Formats: sequence, C-alpha cells, structure tokens
Amino acid sequence: MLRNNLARCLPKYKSSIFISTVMIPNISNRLISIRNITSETHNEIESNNSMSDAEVDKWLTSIQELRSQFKQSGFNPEIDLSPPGKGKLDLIKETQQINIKPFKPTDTQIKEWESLKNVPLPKREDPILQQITNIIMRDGKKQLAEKIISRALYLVFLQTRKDPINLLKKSLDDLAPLMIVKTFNTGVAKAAVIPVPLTLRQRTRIAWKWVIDASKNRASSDFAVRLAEEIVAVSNGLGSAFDKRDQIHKTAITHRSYIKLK
Amino acid sequence: MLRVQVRNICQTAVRNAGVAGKGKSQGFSKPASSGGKAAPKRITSTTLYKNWPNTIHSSKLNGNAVQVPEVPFFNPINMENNMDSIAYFNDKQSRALRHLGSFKKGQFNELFVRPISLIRKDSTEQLWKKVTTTDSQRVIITGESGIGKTSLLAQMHACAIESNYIVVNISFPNLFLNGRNDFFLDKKLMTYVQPMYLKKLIRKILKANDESLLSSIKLSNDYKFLKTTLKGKDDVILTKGKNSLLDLLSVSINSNLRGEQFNGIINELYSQKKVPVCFSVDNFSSMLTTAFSEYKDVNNKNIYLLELQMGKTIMDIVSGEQKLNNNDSFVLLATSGVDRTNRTLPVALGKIPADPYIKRDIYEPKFVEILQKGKVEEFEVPKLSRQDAKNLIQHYINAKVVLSRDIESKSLDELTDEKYFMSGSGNPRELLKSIVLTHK
Repeated sequence: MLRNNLARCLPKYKSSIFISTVMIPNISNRLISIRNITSETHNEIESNNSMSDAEVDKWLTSIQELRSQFKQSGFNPEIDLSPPGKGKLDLIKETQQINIKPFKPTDTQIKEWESLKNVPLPKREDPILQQITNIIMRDGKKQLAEKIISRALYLVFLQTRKDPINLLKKSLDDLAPLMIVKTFNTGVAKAAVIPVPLTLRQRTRIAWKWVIDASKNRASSDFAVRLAEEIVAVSNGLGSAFDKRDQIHKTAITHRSYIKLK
Repeated sequence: MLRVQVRNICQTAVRNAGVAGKGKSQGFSKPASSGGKAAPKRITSTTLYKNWPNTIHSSKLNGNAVQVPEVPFFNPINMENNMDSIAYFNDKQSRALRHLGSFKKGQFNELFVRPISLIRKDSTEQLWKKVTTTDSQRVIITGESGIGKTSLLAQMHACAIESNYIVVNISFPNLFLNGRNDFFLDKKLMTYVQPMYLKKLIRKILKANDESLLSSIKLSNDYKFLKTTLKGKDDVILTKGKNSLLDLLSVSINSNLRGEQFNGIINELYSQKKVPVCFSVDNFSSMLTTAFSEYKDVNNKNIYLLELQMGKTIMDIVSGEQKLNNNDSFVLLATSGVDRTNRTLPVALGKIPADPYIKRDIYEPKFVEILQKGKVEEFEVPKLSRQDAKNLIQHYINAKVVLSRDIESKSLDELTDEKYFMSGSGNPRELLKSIVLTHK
C-alpha cells in the first residue's frame, strides 16, 4: 500500500526532491544513490509514471534511516544541512547569497540620474501657509483647516484677481510688527522694558492672530468667507490691526534707549 | 436666630444651584447669540454674508475675470471646428441656457468671463449622434461625480436650441420633492399639483424657447379657464387651431387651474409632429432614490412620487406612456453625484440582477419597470484624456487662474502630468480643484 502510494507520489515531487538533495548534502549522503537512480530512470518515470520495486525499497530504507536519526538527535538544520566537509552552516549567510541579485543601472538610467543630480527637490508645502493652517486647526483636523484656507484664498483670488498666496504673504508682512517690547526683571525696583526684534515665524503668527480676531466682526456664518474678506481688507491697508501694529512700534521706539548693543 | 440660618442656607443653595459659566469657546463657528446682545453686523452692498458656495456663485465675481482672446463660439451644426477645444456658448445659447438652469453652482463658472465648455469627440459628438439616431429616444447620462454630466447636458441643450428644438429642462427635481413648495390635491386630475413650481417651470419654457417656434404650434384642443384672473371675473378661452402653444404658455391664470394648464402644455407639446422636443431632467437620480417625497397627505403619509403631478408627468414621458410623436424628439436624463445611490438604476440598466426581497428604499421595482418600458439607454461620460487636460490647463493659464508658483516652476507638460495625476486621471472637477482650490 505504502509502496504504491510512494510510487505514485514520487515522480510528481521528483524535482523538489532533487533540489533538496542539492541543498542537503549530509542527508543526501544517504540519498545520493536514490538521486542517481531517479536521474537515471528519469525518462522511464516520465513515460511509465512508475518505479521499480528496488528503487522504492531504497527510498523507504533511507527514509526510515533518516527518521530514526531525527528521532535520536532531533532535526538541526545548521548541522544536518551542512556539506560533508564542514561542521556547521551559517543559514543566514547562505540565504543572503541566494537572494542577492547585483543591481546594474542601464545607460539610460545613469544618464537620467546625471541630468537630475543637481535639480533641487521641490518643497512639498509652503512654510507660511503651513503655519497659518496649523494656527486655525482645531482638534487636529488639518484637512478641514486646509479646506478653510483654500476656500478663503480662492475667494480672495476671485475678488482681487491676483495670486492669492503672494497677496496673503505680502499683506501679512505689511501687517506684522517688526519689534515687540518685553519686560525683564532686573532685580532692582524698576523692571527693564526692552524692544526685541521678531523672527519671521513670530511676526506671521501675530499678524495672523489679528486677522482671525478681526474676521470675527464679519457678517458671514462661514469662516472661510469671513477670513477672505479680512485678508482683502488687510491687503488694501484697512482694518484696526494696523493701529495695533503702530502702537507696538511706538512703544518700541520710546524704549529704544534700552536696546543693548554689544 | 433660626430664621437667619434658614436664610443663609437658602442663599448658598441658590448660589450653588446657578448654572456654571461657560468657558471661552475654542472653535471658529459663530456662537448662537449666547449671553448678551451682540451688536448688529453692518451689511452693505459689498458685504459677503452668505456661506462659501453661495457667495462664490452669486456675488457676480466673474465681473473682473480676465478676458481670453480668440476663444471660438460653440457651433453645434458643424462641430468639427470646435472639436477637442474650449468654446463659449454664443449669446442666443447662453440666454436660453440661463433660463433653462443649465449652469449650476459648483461648476466654477465664476472664474471666467462666461461659462466655458470643452467640446469632445467622444462625449459631445457621440451623445448628440446617439440621441438623434437612437430608436428608443431615451438616454440617461451616467458617470462619476464631477465628470461633467451637467456640462454635457448643457451642451446638448445648446445643440437642441441651434437645431430648432423646443427644450424643456427640469434642472433640479428636489424642488418639487423636498416639500418646500405649496401643493394641493386637484380633484379633477386626481394628482397633487404644485402651482408655484409650475409657474416657474412654465416661465422657463416660455423664456428659453424661440417665440416664433412656440407660436407655430397650433393647439389641438380647446381650453377653457373660467373666472381665473385675480378678481375672479374674466374667463380665458383658447380655441383649437386658432390659438398657439405660446398663448397657452403665456396665459396668466389662478393657481387652482395651473395643473390643468401644465397638463395641456405637455399634451400639446407631444401630440404635435411639427417641431421636435428635447425633454431633459438633470439630477434624475434624486427622483429614482426618493420614491416618497417630503410632502404629506391627509393621513400624514409621505406622498408617492407618481402621485405628484410633476413626478407622474416625467415618468410618463420616460416610460413612453406619453408618446413622442415627432421622430426627432428625445428624452435626456442625467444622474448626479450629489444624490444618494441605490440599486434602482443599475437594475434597470441590466447591470446587476434584481433582488425582490430588498427594501423599497434601496430598490424600487416600479421605477425599474418604467425605465425598462421606455428602453432607456445608458451613456457613460468618459474621462478626460491627457491632451484634453492639457488644453484645459492651457486655457486656465491664459485666463490667469493658475497660481504663479505653478507657472514659474513648471513647464506646461510638467504641470499637465502633475495635475492630470491629481485629477484622478481625468476628472474635470478634480482637475480644476487641484489648480485653484489646493493651497498647501
């Protein structure tokens, strides 16, 4: 029964057995003879789809031997799979060697790389737009914030027919204060009120906060529309925020003598 | 002593029971007048007080749009010159299309001086050919959201107007489904009539079509509207063979008789053989997916679509109950991406098998029957090709709606590659959105 089964199965799996015998030299010490037989009788197997009794017996005995060996010592691939001369096998190294396919770029690829080597990667997003989007973002809903900004800028474009991003940047730059006064504790009775310069990010933030505050007085129930109206007003130099800026500048000028120049 | 203590307890209890003060609100949405009266907002003529979609649609913002030179007018009779290029509708077409409601909000028409249209071989020409040659005379336009179904419908209207059709367009069926119009049960017609909606629709038909064309159709029946002016004194009598359709459309009668007037108009339109009629319904999917309207009958049950006069009229025309006597007449339906989808349309078009055990909300067998009886054919709007997208982008650059950062840093081909990808390989709305509505 087993014999018949084996005879039926083996030709089907012959190729896989062949590969495994290459990879498993130690085991294959015993199997080598079988391999020889199978390769010899290759044509016969293909044609008849059967094996002689002697071959099947050999298969069975060698399987029995392997089984008894694995029962005693257990299956250890590093030792059992190593070739006859070597004691141990580094499996990771072996598999890496199998999988390595050396990459060789084609001429067109090299040319393309040469031509694109000096092209700078375009920036994915505008830093100022990112900042103002993040300021109006609530609960981490960035897409909503982006939608509001985009809609506001679209409306700004429709009203002014100028590039809305450039317009926004310019009007924020016009609106933002250059200096701000800060109060430092000197340790003596009088605190020092010293004007300090602002970075671009700080200036943008202050100006954008004023724009948002002023937009609250607009009529529309849609934040995007209110913002758009306010941006257009600021770009025309209108709005109470400009007074705030002038006030800040005035205080900074009055305290100019406290600026420490090293 | 006790009295004082009791009074103290009372006061603390009252104090503790008070409503906790609200903290400062975090969002940007306007608070609904909480605490104290806010100063009334000053609204002048230039104030934008609507929400965003309505603001951009209705504020006449295309007044200061950039004029693009050398854009040809759409010529439906000889489409070859317009093929695969952008065209304006000429004055005659524009006037009719505006009356018909073919231009809708959300189409970004405010960006340009006048609405633009991309005439394409595989959509405009194909559909016009299909509509004029098909046996069933009934076509439904389908396609994904933003692909240009309504725009294609507008092009078809323009074609029909130039080819001397009478055009009747139901631009937004929700108007007679959402329960916002007045309605009454007409005992004579045994349907629910919506007089104010009909008044607007009749005016549309009258204004959009050529007067000489309407007056060339003589009435085939007598019409008597008795005691119908405001004071209830005058009678309107239209005689067969003498009066024309124009007279029937332009009579001013009381609202209780308007259902009869509309019935008469539809009968006269389709019984004559002289002039072809183009009947179109945009957002037809909203009719297919809401079998029961928002109107309630005397038993407080929602009124079925086919019990409404408008619904019944449209469905009769679609099913072929109302015969199209002129062979060139056609019925054009268009689905909409904003509507709910269900299985009615796919089953009617034979795309999926019918499931009789499914809820009526998802599958309405009566509508399937109507659509199949009318042998409605499908026309799916194809996506833009890369060349189409390039033509459009070139026009956008000419109209100066593209951001300067895009123009300065990229060539036309690079920009086309990028935006064509962003548009999901040729969705026109997404293409325009990625250009004018993506500020990151």
